Parts: sequence; C-alpha cells; structure tokens
Amino acid sequence: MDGDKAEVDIGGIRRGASLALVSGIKVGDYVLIHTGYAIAKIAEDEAASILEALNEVVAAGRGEEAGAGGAGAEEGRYISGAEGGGI
Amino acid sequence: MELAPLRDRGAIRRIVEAITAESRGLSLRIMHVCGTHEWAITHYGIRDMLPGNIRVIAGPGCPVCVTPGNEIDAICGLAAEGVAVTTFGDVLRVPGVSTSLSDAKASGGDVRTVYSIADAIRMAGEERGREFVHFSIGFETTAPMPAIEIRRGLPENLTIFSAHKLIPPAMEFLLGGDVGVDGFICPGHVSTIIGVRPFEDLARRFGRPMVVVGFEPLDVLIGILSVVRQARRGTHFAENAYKRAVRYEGNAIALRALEEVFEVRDSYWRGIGRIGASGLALREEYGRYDAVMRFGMRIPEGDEMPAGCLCGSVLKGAVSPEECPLFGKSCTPAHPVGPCMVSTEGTCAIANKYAAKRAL
Repeated sequence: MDGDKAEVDIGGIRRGASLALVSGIKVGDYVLIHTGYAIAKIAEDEAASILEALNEVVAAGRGEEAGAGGAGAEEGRYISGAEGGGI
Repeated sequence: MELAPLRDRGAIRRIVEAITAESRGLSLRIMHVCGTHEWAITHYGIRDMLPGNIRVIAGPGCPVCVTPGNEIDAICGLAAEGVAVTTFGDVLRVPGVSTSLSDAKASGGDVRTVYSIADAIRMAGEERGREFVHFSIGFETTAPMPAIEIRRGLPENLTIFSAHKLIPPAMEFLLGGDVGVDGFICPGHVSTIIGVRPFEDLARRFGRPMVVVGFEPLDVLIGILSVVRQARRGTHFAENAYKRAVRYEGNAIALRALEEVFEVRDSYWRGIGRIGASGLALREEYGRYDAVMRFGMRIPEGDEMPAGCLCGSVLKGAVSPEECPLFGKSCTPAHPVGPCMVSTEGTCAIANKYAAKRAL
C-alpha cells in the first residue's frame, strides 16, 4: 500500500488497485474490486472461504472465459475468479 | 450467514426444495437487473433447478446495451476527427445507429480499450499533444471512479463522456409498466455503492419484495427463497442478503463523490425509452472535463434497435432471448445485430454461450 495505491491478489494474480473509494483498509483485508478500484471491504472471515470456493469454480471453468473483455467481463471474472483480493 | 453452504451441493438442493415447497400455489416472476447476476444464474443453471412456477427474468442490467446508438455514433465521430477514445472492451463491437467503435478503429480511428479510467488518465498524461475522450459507461458501480478522478483533476487533454445511468429509476419505470414483476433480486455490486435504502423506498411504494444478493449460486437461491417467503406472507420490504459486501448506507465516499461531480438528469435507455432522473451528467463547475462541452456535441435523443431485433423487449424482461427470431440465426456473437448479443453482460450473449454449451 502506498497512498491510495495498493497491490491486490486476485485469485493468485497480482495487480494494482486504487483505494481512493474506500477507507480504513489494512494490509491483508479483502476488498471487492471494480475497474481497478476497491469499492467495498468484504467481511474477512467469509472472504477466505469464498476465495477457495471460487478457485474451484475457476479451475473447473478455465478456458471458457478466455477472450472475454471489457468492464462487464472484468466484473464476471471477480465473481468467477475472485470476489476479493488480499492486499 | 455461514459460508460453507455457498459451495455445498447438499445445501443447494435443500434450498431448491424449500423454494419448491414454499412457493406451492404461487406463480412468481422475479426480476434481476444486473449482467453479472444473469451470468451467474445462467452459468450455474439456476433456472433449470427451479420449479416451473418460479420464473427468474433479466431486466436492463447491461449498461452497454442501454447506451443509445446515437451516443455511440457521436463518439465514433470524435474518433474520426482524430480524438483518441478510451473505453471498456465490450463497447467496441456494439452497433450504434450507423457505425461502431470497432468500425471507427478499422478506419484508422484511435480507439483504445482500457481496464480502468486510471489507464485513460495515464495515457492522456503521457501524450499531452493529443485530445482524449473517455467514453464512460456503467451504473452506480462504475460512476464513482470518474467522479473521484474528476474531483482530483484530470490531465487537460482528457474529457469524459458520461453515459452513466442509475438502476433504481429503471426499476421504478418497469414497476410502473406492464412487465409484471412480483419481486426483485437487487444488484449486489450497485448496492455496495447505494446501499439498501433506495430499494426500501421501491418496496414500500410498489408493494414488492426486494432482496440484495451476491453472485454465488447460494446467494442467488437464498435471494429467490427470500422473495418467495415474502410473497407467501404478503410482505414487501427490502432485505440485504449480501451483508459480506453491502452496508445498509452504501459507500459514503463514493456517494459523496457522485453527488459533488454529477447531477441527475433524465436519460434515454436504448430499447426502453426516456426514464426520468436516471442519468448522470457532469455538473457545470466541472464542465472543463465534459466532452459534450469541449467538443460541442449535439446528440439527438432516441434511437431504435436494428430492424427485427428484440433487444428492447429483452431488456425490459418482456421476452427471453430465445423468443427473438434472430437469436442464434442472423444474430450471433460473431455477427451481432443488437447490443444484447455483444456485451459479456448482455442477456442474449450469455444465453447464446450457454445454449451452445448445452448442445455439446
């Protein structure tokens, strides 16, 4: 974390995200990311298990999402790929 | 809410059994208004799990689909004049009235796909000699990002074209029409921003249950069960079944940024029509960041869907994609006729993808 820039782990992939739209986020928290910005903190105890569940879904569905693009796809990928990312 | 049930097949079966048992004697049409819900519902085969008396229908949850063709044409016009256009990937192939951004790009226009408005800011900052317009499309989930960046100040050579729209006014519009909706599954991501209160107002005024839900199969099924239970008891209030991400009051930082930067205006929804107080335009004090002001854009209101395309009726939940005579025949993702077949959030594109899978 540096200012409102953070690094998030989305289902094993690291990428930058902005924290400009949220407050009180600490390293290790789970957040919902939309078009590169965290929009909500996800209740922590539930997030870990969700990520696990989602990884299973991703493993089962890998390949079929390839080539998707755009904001909608990105959002779809959160759902199928990562609801949250640990910072 | 316990988490384990979200991925438990036994739990899915139990909830479906509860929906079946508790909905006996009822016939309900439950609408959602979110492309990601449509994806989840279709991907997980939720409609096939439900008894025949419970119909889940997709409403206008695809922002790209409801963006007027005239606006797409106008942005293409800017690209033809040498302006660099940035936007999200699934906008490119959406047919406007006479052209599309992918056509504009093929004709030499500088059209760039971005993941985030932050990319557009970076590009404009690196190429100060070129005018950039970010074609900003999306509901309440996507509008706070330009809002907060506009408030911080954009590069001088970057303006925003706001095609942002608001979901609760569209729900109100449909509730006042003849589509026949008995309850709503409210959009989880939009709700992280706006909270639960707007749905409380709608539930009270229109006497329909409204349940905010997430995107796991059990999230959706729990939402459906909640609507069924309310219908059985004759109650109509708003519930939050996505508490792990949605706070009652929403996201205060995002709401404040939206309020400061945008003003609410009437807005034209492609295939649906003009909906009062359903769009976001930049406030006058931020006019220097408004593409409409900088380029003197004049965009005629209203446009029809392409001939024979039932996208408008699909967006209102009046017909399913399969009921459109073009679906899967002359209209496919490779050769889309209407916007619902293009976007990854489009009801027809999602239906087509999973129809093809089922056929295998």
